[in-house]
Amino acid sequence: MRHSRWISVVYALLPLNRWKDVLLRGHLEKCPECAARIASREEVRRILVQAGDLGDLGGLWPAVRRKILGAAFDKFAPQRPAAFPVWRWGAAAAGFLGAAFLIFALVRSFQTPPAYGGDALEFRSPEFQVHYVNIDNEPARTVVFKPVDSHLVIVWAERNQ
Amino acid sequence: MMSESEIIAACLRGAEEDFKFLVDLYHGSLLAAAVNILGNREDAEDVCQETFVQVYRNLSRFDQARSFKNWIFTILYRRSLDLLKKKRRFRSAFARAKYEVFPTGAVIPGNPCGKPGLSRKFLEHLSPKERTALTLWANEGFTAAEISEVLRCSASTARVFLYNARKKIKALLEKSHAAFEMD
Repeated sequence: MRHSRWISVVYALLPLNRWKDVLLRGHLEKCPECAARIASREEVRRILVQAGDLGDLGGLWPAVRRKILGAAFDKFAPQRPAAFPVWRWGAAAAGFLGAAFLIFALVRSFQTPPAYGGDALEFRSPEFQVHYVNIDNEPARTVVFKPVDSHLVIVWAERNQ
Repeated sequence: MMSESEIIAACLRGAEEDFKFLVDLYHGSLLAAAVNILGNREDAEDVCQETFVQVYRNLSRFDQARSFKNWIFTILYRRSLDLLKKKRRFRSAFARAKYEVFPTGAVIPGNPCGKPGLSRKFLEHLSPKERTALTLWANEGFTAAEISEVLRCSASTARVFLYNARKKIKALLEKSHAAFEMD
């Protein structure tokens, strides 16, 4: 009894159905003690409704016949288009790509460093960095001032003589 | 008596009346399965009717290399799930269900308490997938692989559904026996 309880606990703890199935086939279906804890086919059949319990079954065919004869006439009716035709998948994909491109372009526009008199600056969060400064497409002499205990950053750039 | 494939071939040639043989062949077992899944004969009859109509309309798409029985039960299962989804919440649907499968008040054979409608109390503890797996296994003799085709899951998952259902039923049967003996 204790054995089958342990097995039940292990079974309940297994996260994947595939692992549970390995335990089922490897042990639970073979062990008589564990098999006694699941309902047999006969026991299940006793509580399920069987075809023989349903009494008169004669009324279905006329209703089905009416519908299928209707379906036969429907064959001459114009065919309905598919619920979601191929071109709609294409349109949906194109829309998705367009939206993705728009978002990408917007994000990039926010990340572009501000232009300052032809200087090219590159900011990197969280620290301020200057990789290079050009004036008239020539590397400029650049000095960065960062006062202590202040968030202020001063960049001084002058043309190289 | 025409064979299943002969009936299908006749229906495909346009002999609608021959479809009656298929209806007669599967009506009882499909209705019983639907009652077991839905818990309500009226809904089960509607689902059966829809199933047969869908089978007829899609007969040309049926792959004759596969099992027709499996195919028809798959359609029944899908239609039953659709109905349950329409009713939104399964529990409320089951609470409203009226069991009319024993109109004469007949005792269910082998029922431990001998009360009609007791099977509902057992089946309402199972999920629709578990009830479907149990019905197909016990009433129709389906294997786990065949059940997995109907439920559209792996054979492992089907076996797990079936095991869980059988375990729950066993526990409920033991509880019911104990309560009956105490009375």
